[in-house]
Amino acid sequence: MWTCEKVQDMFSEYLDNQLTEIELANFQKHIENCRKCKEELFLLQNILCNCRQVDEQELPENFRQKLHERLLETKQAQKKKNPPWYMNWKMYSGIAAGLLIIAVFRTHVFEMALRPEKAYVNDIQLNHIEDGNHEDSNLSESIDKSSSPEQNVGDTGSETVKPDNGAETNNDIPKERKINKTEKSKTEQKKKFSDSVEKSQRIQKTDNGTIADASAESMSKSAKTEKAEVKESMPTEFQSTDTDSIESYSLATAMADVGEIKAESNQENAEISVHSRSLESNEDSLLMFSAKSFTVSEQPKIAYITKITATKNDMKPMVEKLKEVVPNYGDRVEFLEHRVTLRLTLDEYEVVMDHLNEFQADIQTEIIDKEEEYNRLVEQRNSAQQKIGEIEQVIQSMNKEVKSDDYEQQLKDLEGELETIESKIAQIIELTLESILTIEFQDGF
Amino acid sequence: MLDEKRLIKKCKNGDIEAFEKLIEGYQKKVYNIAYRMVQNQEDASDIAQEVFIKVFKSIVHFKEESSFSTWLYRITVNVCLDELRKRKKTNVISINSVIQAENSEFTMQLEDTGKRPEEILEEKELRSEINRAINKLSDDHRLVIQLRDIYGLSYEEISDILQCSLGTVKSRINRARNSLKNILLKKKEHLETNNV
Repeated sequence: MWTCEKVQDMFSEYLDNQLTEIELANFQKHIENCRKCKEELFLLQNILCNCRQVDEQELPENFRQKLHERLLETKQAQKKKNPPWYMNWKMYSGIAAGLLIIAVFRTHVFEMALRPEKAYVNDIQLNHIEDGNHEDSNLSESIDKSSSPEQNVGDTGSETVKPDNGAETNNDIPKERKINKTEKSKTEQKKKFSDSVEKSQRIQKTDNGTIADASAESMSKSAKTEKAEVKESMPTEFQSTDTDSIESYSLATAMADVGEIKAESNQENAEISVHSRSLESNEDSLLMFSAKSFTVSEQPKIAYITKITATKNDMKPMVEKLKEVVPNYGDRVEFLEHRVTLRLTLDEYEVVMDHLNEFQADIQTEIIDKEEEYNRLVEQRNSAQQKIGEIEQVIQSMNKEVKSDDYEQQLKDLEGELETIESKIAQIIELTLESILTIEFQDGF
Repeated sequence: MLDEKRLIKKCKNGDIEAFEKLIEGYQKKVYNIAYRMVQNQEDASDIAQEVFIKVFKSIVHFKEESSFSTWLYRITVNVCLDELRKRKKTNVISINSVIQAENSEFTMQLEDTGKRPEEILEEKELRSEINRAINKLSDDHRLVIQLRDIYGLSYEEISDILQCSLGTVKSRINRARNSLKNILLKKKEHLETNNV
């Protein structure tokens, strides 16, 4: 028999249909016999049901308008950073590269000095484009970048004077134009450079916060990658024994099984284990449930009433009986994950239970043998969970200035441990799952 | 869904109108996640704005491997957590927000009991009770309750948003719900003893 503590730790998974077969059986067994847990389960169910309708905050009045304005600003800023087609860096750097090659064959010294200037400018634009598309965190970086290459522009610009003389022999009119252009663009670049220096100073002044943000952001990023590494180092077998796959697998077996049941008629040596509870206690719980939970309106009707766990063979005669007793059995039965749910009215339920009591007999199966090991693992899991809870509390209650890295590491380790335990549990369940079929009655009308 | 894809395509070309259409259904949710985390209107509004600007800027890089909502919530959660981390470093605002939370609790109580003082188990009362209890949870727990039990996201979606394993999500949700239940139980006991 499970302890209250253990059962309460599983409320959440129970309500989300995440429990495995054995867990479910143990859970039900306890809930049936423990008023306190039952009440708490109803309370939690009630709370979660109401969570969906918790009052949400309305958007602030000017929110949409403010956002619209900021979006426009953002787009504008992006446009500026994103030059029109004739300023497209790709095209220019292509041309620049092409001209460079030609220049090497011709008057290489002159052309070399002439063209890289353009290439540098375009590189700067490229930086801007990229920064604009990425996060603000690059802002400070981009400021640095933009100042240093621009200085290079100045350097190469001064060099152009020398080759000017050297290349005089080849100097025809278009080239003169080019020189003029370069000189023009040189002064332009200088202007741009001083502008950008001014701008960067301004940005640095007004936007120290952004830079701080950026560093915080990058810190958080590195923390995340650490996390990812830890995740990777966790045992992989857990992922492969995910409960979902087990559930879908067992759904398939359950479906196949029911097909078999329909084909075959009677089966002898039927031993059925009906875990716990008699009809009276169920009725009692049902009444209690309705009395408890209907104080608040719109309760979910997922009140489970009875769950029967038996091996596949054991279940066959019982299903046959159900087919006889329940009108329109085929329409009433529903396969939900690894559960077979029968929707019954309260009156029908009583009749069905009368019949099912005839089958009531205890059997010992290998499932029960496995339970001991299983329970031990669950115990381990719970203590791990508890430790995690404690550490989380410590982290929370700690002074914000104190570094909590050590505790966080401990927490990660424990969560890893927890996952290993859970994978072991999943393995056991997989071993025994094949032979279990569960029927759930639901007062769904 | 198809519509969403078309809108995303437009957004990638910088279409503001399409972007506003795309986020229309999410604005309140993002704002409420932020509100739940920082517990005051002004900051929540700032965070939500920041989230949407960020999304607008980076939607070009959105590869559509996960759903838009998951991606959006992931960004929301990251911005919120960054903000909370910043606060912890500066150690200033957190005190304010506690006071603020307490004040709002006080006014909420006044409002609710003012309307119908005699009906204690009133549905609305219960909900605001739950609301207050959620706000008392730790950051992580508040977040998973918001995603799982208020917005009804699946375990898989949440693990995608928080970028942690399913097992972690499960145990975190479990712990969050248990502490939520315990807070409300304590409150209930408190009320009962007061009434007797």
